[in-house]
Order: sequence, then C-alpha cells, then structure tokens
Amino acid sequence: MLASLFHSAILSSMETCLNQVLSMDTVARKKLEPLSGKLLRVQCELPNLLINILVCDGRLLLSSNEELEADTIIRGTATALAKLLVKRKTADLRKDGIVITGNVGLLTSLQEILQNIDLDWEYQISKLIGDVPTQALSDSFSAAGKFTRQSRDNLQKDIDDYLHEEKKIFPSAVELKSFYKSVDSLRLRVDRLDSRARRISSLPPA
Amino acid sequence: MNNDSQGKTTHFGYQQVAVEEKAGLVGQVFHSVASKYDLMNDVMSLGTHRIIKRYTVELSALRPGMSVLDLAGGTGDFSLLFSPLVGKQGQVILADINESMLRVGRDRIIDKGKSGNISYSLANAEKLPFKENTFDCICIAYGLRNVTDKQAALGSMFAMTKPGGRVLVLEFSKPVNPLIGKAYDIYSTLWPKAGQLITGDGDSYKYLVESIRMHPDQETLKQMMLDAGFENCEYHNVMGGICAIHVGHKAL
Repeated sequence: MLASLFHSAILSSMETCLNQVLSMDTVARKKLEPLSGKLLRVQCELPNLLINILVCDGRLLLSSNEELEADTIIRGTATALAKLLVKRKTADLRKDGIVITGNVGLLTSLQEILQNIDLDWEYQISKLIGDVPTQALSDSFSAAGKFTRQSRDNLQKDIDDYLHEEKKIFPSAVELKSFYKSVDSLRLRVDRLDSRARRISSLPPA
Repeated sequence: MNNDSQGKTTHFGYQQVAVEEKAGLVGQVFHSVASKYDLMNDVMSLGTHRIIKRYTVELSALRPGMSVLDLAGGTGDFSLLFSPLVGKQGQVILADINESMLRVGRDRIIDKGKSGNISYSLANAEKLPFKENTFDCICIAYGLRNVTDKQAALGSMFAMTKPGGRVLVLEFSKPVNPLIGKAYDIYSTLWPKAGQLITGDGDSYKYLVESIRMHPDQETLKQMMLDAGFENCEYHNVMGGICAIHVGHKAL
C-alpha cells in the first residue's frame, strides 16, 4: 500500500507538471479537446509500471487503476517508451520491442501534440506578476539579448583589429587582396614567359 | 452504530448520547472547526491526507461523463479532484449535512473557478435526497464515523448508486501492526492540543480522536457494506491500517 501511495504521489506531481506545461500552450489544449474521454494505458515492463493517461477537457489525468478500460495500450521497456516520446517517427516501433494494441491514432495524436508544445512564457509570467512588470521584464530580456549580440560583434571586431592593425600578426584584407593580385599577375607573366619560351624552343634553328 | 438494547442512545466519542442528539452535537463540532479544517488535516496527517485522497480517487475508476456524489464532502477536496475527471459532461455533487462545512467547500471551489460541473446539496447521508440509481460512484471520506446510523447511510448510498457503480468509504480504521497502533495512539493524543492552538477548540478534536477509536474496524465495516447490499466488497489498508479505503460494488 505504501508503494501505491508513493506511486500515487509521483503520478500526482507528474500530472500537475504536465498540465502546467499544457496550460502554457492553448493550441495544444485545443488539439486535445477532440480526444476527450480517451484513455491511453502505458505499461512499462522494466521497471514494472502502469500509467493511465486520460484525456479530459484539454487536460491529461494520470492514474494507475487497472480496472479502467483503455482505448490504446502501449507496452514496452522504459527506454523504448522514452525514445517514443522524443522520436518523431513511429515506424520502427517493433524493432524497439514496443507493442501497441487498440486505437493507434490516439497514440500518434498525443505524441504529436506533446512534441509540438510551444510555451508562451510571457503569458504565464504575466499571470504571476501582472502585465506591466512582464512587459518590463520582457523588454529587459530582449535588451539584454541585444546587448549580448552587440558586445559579441564588437569583441570580434576589436580582436580582428588588434591582430591585423596593432600587432600585425595577420595581414589585413586589403594587403591580402593586393598580395593575391600580384601573385595572380606573376602567375600570368610566368605563364606567358613559359609559352614564349616553348614557342622559341619549337622554332627551327636559323 | 452502537445503540444500546433499547436503541435510544448512541456513542458520541466515548460518551453515550440520545440518538436524536448526535447529529446536532457532531454539527456543533464541525461548525466550530470548519474554517480551519484543511489546515488541521494537514497538521494531523502530516500532509499525507492529500496523497490518500488522490489514491482513493484513483480507485473510483471514473471516466468523463460520469456522475459522482462526494458525500460528507465538507471542504470540497474530493469534488475538486473528481471535477476534472468527469469533465464538462459529467456531474459532481458535493453533499454535506453541515452547512458551515458545505459553505466553506462551496466558497473554496468557486474561488478556484472550478464550479462548472459541481453542484451542492445540504443532505443527510442516512436519507439521501436523490433519485435511486443516480450515481456511478459515491464517495464518503472521513464522514461515515460521524453518521448516527451508519447502516442506514450505507443502505441509502446503495440505493442511490447505479447498477454497476461503486461506493468508496475512506475512513480511519484499525492499524494492523500493534506497534504502529501504539505510536498512532500516542500521536493522536496531541491532536486536541494542536486543535486548541490552531482552531481554539480542543474539545472538537477530542471528539474526533474518540470517534476514530469507536469506528468499526476493517472487517466489521466490510460486513456492514455487504449487509447493505454491496457486492465484491474489498478494503485497502492505508499506512498500515491507520486508514482504510473500502470499495463496494452494486451488481448490474
């Protein structure tokens, strides 16, 4: 019974986290609504765990009661099931030892919704601290982002200048260009000289 | 119920009182503790009551669209857990015999914005004011021991349950391990003092402790449920039998 209570406590925390994340994405919740009343049972074999995921009004409710009738049952080891959460394609499920019975559509719909969650952090923060502070926070974040980008660019430019202009370790782009140009012209002149030499050597002796 | 041979008195904690007085006396206890009830639950159970409640809800096997009666639901903890489970199409009725407790529960639920599928009923568990075969599940948590005629309450619950439905009774019970029992006894003697500190009413908690000791043990309650008509009755001991969740089914 203690194990069941422990299991219940873990499921409760997982459920809260999951729904908190879902509440940040209204599109995902809308997509969940047509699946209301459907139950996906996840039977993990290693370790032995059973989790029912019931969709109800855009929320996911977790339980471990075996009596509930499931629309889809998915069985597999913990690692294979975890892979399924991350992977986009479900084609090679059998290779991973995952067995699905029932409505596969429910599984793929849930997988797609959970993988495409797009979190609206600003809205969630605004609920906690209000609109104006959120705007200020968001502005300061974007200002900080801008400052970081600018500083990075400036630093790059300064290092460039230092190495090229101050220390003269590397040639500048202009010098390099003129050097390449002279190399090219030298090459052309050598080529011309070479062809002239060939032409002269091919002439019959006078 | 421990009526004497004439059926005129019943227990109120360790005292014997007239049958008709018990409901009023229990009422006074809950009127007095209603506002601090949840806080005291946390103190007395060290927070574990939340997990126990969650586990009980899992045993309800509810699905969206079903109807559930949260009997003696008081501050609405169970209704709040049932509400998302049965969804917009489902129905939760929070019933309690005590107006103060029901008021606290209703306010709390409305404050949480969860009022969509929850209704309220001031009802006596012994004579439930609903149509027969109405609920897919009836849950009475920490309430049965305060009911004067427990057998009548179980009978009334049986009548209101739909065929194929189930009843859950979560209640304090008898610890299986005598050591746990002893430790729990000692711990529970602190409750009236904690009650005095937090709610300013130690006597009410003295009654709660006494009523827990007077409550039938697991097997007795199971037999009472069978007598009421339930089938496949079973119980799950929680925390070594300090609490027990009895589940009874109504045959199809």
